[in-house]
Amino acid sequence: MLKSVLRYGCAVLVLLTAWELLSLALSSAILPAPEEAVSAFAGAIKGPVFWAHFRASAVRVLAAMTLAWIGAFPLGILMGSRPRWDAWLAPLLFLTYPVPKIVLLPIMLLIFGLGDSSKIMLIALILGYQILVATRDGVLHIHPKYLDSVRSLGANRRQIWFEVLLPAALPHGFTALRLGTGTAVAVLFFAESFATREGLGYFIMDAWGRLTYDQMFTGIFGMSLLGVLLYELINHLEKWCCAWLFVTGPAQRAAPHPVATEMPMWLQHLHTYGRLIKFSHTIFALPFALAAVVLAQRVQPLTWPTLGWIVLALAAARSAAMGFNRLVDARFDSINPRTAQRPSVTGTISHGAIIAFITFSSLVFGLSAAALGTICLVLAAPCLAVLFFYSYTKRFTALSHLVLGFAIGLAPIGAWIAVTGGLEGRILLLSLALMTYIAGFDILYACQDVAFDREIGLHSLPARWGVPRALALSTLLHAATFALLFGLYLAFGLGTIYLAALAAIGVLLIIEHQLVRPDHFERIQIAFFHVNSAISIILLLGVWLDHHLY
Amino acid sequence: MLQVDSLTKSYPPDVAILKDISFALAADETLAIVGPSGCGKTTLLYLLCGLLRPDSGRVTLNGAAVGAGVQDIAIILQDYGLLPWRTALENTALGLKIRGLGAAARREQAQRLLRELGLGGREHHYPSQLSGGEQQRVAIARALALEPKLLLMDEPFSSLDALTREKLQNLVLGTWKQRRIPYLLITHGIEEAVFLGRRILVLGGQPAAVLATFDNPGFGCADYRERQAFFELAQALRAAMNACW
Repeated sequence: MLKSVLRYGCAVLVLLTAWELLSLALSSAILPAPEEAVSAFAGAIKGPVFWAHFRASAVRVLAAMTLAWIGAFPLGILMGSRPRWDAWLAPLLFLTYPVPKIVLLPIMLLIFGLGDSSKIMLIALILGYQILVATRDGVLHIHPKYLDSVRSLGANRRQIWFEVLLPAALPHGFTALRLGTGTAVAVLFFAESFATREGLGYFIMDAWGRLTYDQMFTGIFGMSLLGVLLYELINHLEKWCCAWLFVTGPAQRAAPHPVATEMPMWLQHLHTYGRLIKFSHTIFALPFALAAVVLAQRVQPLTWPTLGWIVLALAAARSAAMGFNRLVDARFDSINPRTAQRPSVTGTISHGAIIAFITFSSLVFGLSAAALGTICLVLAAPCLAVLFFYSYTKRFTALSHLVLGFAIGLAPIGAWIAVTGGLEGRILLLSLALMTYIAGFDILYACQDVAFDREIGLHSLPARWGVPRALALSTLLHAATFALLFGLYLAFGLGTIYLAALAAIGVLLIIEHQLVRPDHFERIQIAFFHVNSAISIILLLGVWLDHHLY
Repeated sequence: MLQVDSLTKSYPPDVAILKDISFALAADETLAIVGPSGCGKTTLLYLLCGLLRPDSGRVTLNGAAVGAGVQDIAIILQDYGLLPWRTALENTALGLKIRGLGAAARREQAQRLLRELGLGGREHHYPSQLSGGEQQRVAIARALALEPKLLLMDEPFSSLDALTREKLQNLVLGTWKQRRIPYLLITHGIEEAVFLGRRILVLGGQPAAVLATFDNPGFGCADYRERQAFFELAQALRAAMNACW
């Protein structure tokens, strides 16, 4: 929900204000002003040192979580489902449960040495207890009707384990794991303040010792970041593994949107062609390509004609591809209530006219590529082939969303090559960001068509995996988009303005995903046209302003 | 084909539930067992499919004693017993999966059954996304998927609204006419028993015993619910039940 994002924003504001006031009141170096701490943090995340510590901590916590899960989760199921085992193990569990495991650090150090293993074991032990208790309780309370119904089908012990016990226990294990992230990070800090020279705990203690308090806060931010990432990781894993918990009521079909009439004839024609190639979608890809153009100026200055040809090539390629897609899909679109009003379906544009339109667009694309140089001309044909190929992928693979992302993701690379005449690895970050971004929202789009796609046998992730899992994957893809755009910041050494734009994009992506819920597809229209246009334009503005002001 | 000989069951320490229950179900027959709630009907059903063992007496299906996991008997439980973490399709295919059938084959078979029961397009929904009637259909599909020799139903429609219940009763009767899988239905609905049972057993008492048996010659004829014979038998059944408890 938009509201919850706003509430988060308010919470951050309140915290920052309180911090500011407190630092003014104390006027001590120990509590630097928030803006100092933030700018120190922004400086630190550009360098490798912070990330080395971050990685060391992340590896320790993740290893500990994995270990705790592998040890405790199956044991919890065993104790919950086999009274005879439980009778002997439960007293052992509840005698040792209240012991604060953190006091065992010296013993851990003695057994496992001063290296990583003692720290990992300590965290794993603490987390493991929580997972064990929660899982055991969860399994104890499984309703017997599930066991009876599966037994009546003739299930043996192994089948009961996999069909009933394991899935019933999963949500309990995940709840424990999620609640455990806070504990895990706290214990990590404690464990890293001994016998190590890497990790965020060491980073904080070291900064404290050296009286560099802004550095200390960088470490604290890092720990919060680590905590939030772990929490979200577990949330997503749970959505992935326990999809049935996240469905609400029967999925609803979106109503077909009304068609505009009452227009002069020539305007209607223009409007019709506009709808055919989905001009409104182009706006999501074009800014990414233009951002690549801005970035490319660092390597090679740009001339006005080059820019013109690039824009023309982009528009032509997109028109050709969308025309082709509609042509190929017309058969399916005509039966789908959501797309039944597309011009190629209702017959407003004839078959022949579409083919002529595609041919013309392809020619314009080839011409502008030729104007941009030999290498562009050579690449034009394979590029069109990829764009056209996408239209068929829906028929045989649920990964068609990724193919679409890949095809559109070629735009920034193309623009870069057009300006610089060569290819560099770092621009791939932008293309990958566009690819994950497009694939992510194409999945959202497909959520509207699930029932139809299934019926007709078209492949899409929501049709294949169900809406909740598809939404989770879409969220993951957009998280990747954000990470890749952040990678772009590092790779090109961009400035604060870009970072601010990136923050805005992050917020918008969150809003977009809050708008779309398994039972609220009518909102996808808002999610798409408003938020997506805003995101791509903010990206372009960020890159452009950054280029001109620095 | 199903032969039940003097079943007795009590729960520890010594609460007698069922006493000396005997009846038979022929291959082309259906049987409805009526009785008040809590009289041990569900215990009887568990004994019939081998999930519980009787203290004495025996249950045989085509001459062989039944035991846990007898795959010739499919059971439809009171609150459907669908697994919340499996979709309609996966729930339907569950019995086939347990039997070791390959993924593609069981998927195809389950899909066909769901479509047959009017659930096409709902295959990938979880039970929480389905209405009570739809969940009940999935449970029926899951039972039919096993192509059982005998179908046991425990108050299958008790939590449905009246219209949905009638629709599903028609569905069960239609399925029986088509497949001729003999079924045993446990219910507390008098009309339901008359509509769905070729023979009707009245269970009651403490411990429960068979108090009366009715023959239902009109069973299965068209518009049976509207016929005089239907009302008369329902009246007789009601009178018998009132006399017994």
